[in-house]
Amino acid sequence: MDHTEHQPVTILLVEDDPGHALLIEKNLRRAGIANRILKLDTGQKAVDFLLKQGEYRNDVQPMPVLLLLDLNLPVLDGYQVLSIIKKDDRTRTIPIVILTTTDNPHEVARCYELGCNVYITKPVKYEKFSEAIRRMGLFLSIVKVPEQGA
Amino acid sequence: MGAPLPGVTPLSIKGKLLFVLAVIGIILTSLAGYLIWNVRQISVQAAIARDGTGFLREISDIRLRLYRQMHALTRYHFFNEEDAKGDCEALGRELSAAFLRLRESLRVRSGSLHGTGAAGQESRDIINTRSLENSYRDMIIIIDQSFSQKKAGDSSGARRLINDRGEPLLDDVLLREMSKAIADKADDMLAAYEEISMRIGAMPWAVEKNRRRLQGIRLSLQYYLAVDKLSLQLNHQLNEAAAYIVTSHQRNLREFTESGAEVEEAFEESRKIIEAQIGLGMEGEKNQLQEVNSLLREYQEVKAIFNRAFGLKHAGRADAAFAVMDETIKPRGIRHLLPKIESIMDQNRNEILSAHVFLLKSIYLSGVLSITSVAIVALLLIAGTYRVIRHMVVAVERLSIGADRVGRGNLDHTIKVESSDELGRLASSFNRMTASLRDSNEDLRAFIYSLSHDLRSPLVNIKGFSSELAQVLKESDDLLDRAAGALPEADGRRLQAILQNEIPAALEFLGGAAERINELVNSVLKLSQVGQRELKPEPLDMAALVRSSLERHAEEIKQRNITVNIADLPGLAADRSAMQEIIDHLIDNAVKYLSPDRPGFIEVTGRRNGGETLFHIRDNGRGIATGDLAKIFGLFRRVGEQDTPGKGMGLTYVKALIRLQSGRIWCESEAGSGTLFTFSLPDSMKPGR
Repeated sequence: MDHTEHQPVTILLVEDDPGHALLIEKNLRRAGIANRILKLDTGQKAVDFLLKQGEYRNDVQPMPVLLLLDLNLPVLDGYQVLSIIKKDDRTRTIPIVILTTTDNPHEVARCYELGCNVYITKPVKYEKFSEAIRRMGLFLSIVKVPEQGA
Repeated sequence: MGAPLPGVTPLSIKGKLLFVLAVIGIILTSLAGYLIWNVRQISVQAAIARDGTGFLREISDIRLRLYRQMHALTRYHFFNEEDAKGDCEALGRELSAAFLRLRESLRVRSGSLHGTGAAGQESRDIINTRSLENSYRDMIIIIDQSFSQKKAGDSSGARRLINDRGEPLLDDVLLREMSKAIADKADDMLAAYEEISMRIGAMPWAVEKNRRRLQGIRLSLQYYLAVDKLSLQLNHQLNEAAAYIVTSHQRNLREFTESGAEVEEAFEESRKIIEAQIGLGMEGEKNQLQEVNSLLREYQEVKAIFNRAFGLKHAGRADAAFAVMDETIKPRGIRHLLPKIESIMDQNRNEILSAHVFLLKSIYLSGVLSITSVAIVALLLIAGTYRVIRHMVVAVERLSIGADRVGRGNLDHTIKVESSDELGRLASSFNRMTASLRDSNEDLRAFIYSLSHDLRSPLVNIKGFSSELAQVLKESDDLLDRAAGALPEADGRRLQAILQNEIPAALEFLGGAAERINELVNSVLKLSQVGQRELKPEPLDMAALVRSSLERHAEEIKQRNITVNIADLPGLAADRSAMQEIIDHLIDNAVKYLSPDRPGFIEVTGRRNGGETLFHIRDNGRGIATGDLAKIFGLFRRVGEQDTPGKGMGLTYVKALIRLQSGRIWCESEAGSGTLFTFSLPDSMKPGR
């Protein structure tokens, strides 16, 4: 990870539905996550950002500490993003959380095969959703510890 | 459904086709049998005809010897040639032997032809032969007597005896009897050949060639008869001429003339027949024509000598006439012409015999060919038809099994296409239909899946933000109190009412509605995924599954005093979790819709029925109105009073699970008195997917 000490650790949220993005962000904040959250709304932008290409060619922002990825994305879908970043040495180690409405076991299995770390379905019951996001926040604060200590 | 009417056994397609095959087989077997019988009949007729030639030969043989014996007798008595007596006696012995042979051959023949329809001919032949033999015995007596008279010195008495009794006996009795025997036999033979000709017509091979051969044989027979007549009349003519010269009777002269006319006629007839034979393409008969012509020339020479002898007699020189008669005519006529005619007849008989053998060979060959070809055609036809039937029956059965499986929901089933004929095309069409069904099923499933999936996204927002809003409102309670306090009292209360009651209430409705949509979407998703379930059939204790379902309602059963009766249930191999879900839903329904007016009763029974197992779940609940029965398995359909919670997809799901296992479910009910759910599962569970 080539981020510098003074820059806050970034979470990259790739989500095309602004409502979902807002809800996820609110719940992460409520769970006590203070990291900068960078929101992108297509898979292509996420790949460009991570691989420093296209409109992010000259971007100097550090690699995110975590990637929150929706599966239904325009241009490149979540699976494609997943397989691209798992093939590139620069991004291979970024932890990935899949956040989606699909709970089809085949799709869950496919995501794990492609190398996602956690798979969370977006339940419609808001309480459950908040709970899931919050649990993720807790999980994030745990995984964050060694990063900050580095 | 489609059950045959009682008492009527419908014949399957296989049965009908086999029946047709059997009929074809019987017809062809009968045809072959008829052909065999026909050939057998032909061989019987052929035997009659062949034996006929033998008979003719014997008769001719006897006749020739009779001529010679009479000639020897005349030489002995009239010309005192002592050695002629020995000849006469030797010929007598030969004749006795010939008669014996004839009798013997008739005896053997009547044994072999017994019961063939030729018995009538045989007895007639025997009668003919017997009267011939009797007549000849008279002749022997005359001959012996003549010898005794001559020995006693009464030469003229012996001569008179020969002239007055011997010669008339030969001419008028023996020869005529022989002619009759010959004519009868020739008639038999002609009739036999006629029948053979008719029977050949029934055989499909080489008919024309054989018919021509037959015609040739018949002409040869007619020729034989004509020559026979020639021989008879010529002999008669010779005798009459001699008699006239000795006796000067006008009667002898008249007879001589008549016989001459008959001889000419016989010649003419012979020639005509030979010409007909040549016309038939029997080239060999040209020789015969030459022979007849040379015979005719010789006869004309003899006739010229007759005229000379008659001239001498009329001139009063009876002795000279007698000498001419004796020295020229008799040797030429009796020693040369008559034996020559006999040899022609002999030759002709041999020709008939060899033509006959040839014909028979050909007929047998065509008989064998006919029977063999009928047999081969029959075998090919039967084998071919059997193959076609088998092909059809197998294809139809395959289609029927396929239709059954596809009907039960196994859309992956394909039928083997083995031919490009109508049945093959039917199978291909069937497979295309199944594939198209499978595709649209797949499309529908994918559509339902993605639709429900896409519906969820906005739901997350609706539900999420209404919760956020409720949360924010709760967080702003303090601010609200203070803001309300700063307003005039009425406005403050109004603001509080809006923010604390109306908006939260609206948000609650919003959230509830979103939740309801979500449940529906989940149900549809669950339903759309039924087909993707992997079924693992295992032997199940159905009663245990039912008890496990009832366990979930133990409290309610106890409280509401519900009677539950589980009969001995037949065992079953099926997917455990699918069966548990099915039973759960049906038991839930039974418990849920019990009537509050009376003590509840639920009964679970089961039985084997042919290749399937039936289960019945009966309750005495509120029942379902007849008009609603058709709707209960529909998606999101809830019928009757809506006083119990439910999403209205339980039965739809149950039906999908049962169909997945190739089973059926149906419901009988009467509003107010109870409901009976019955489902069946086939023995060999073929997963629908």
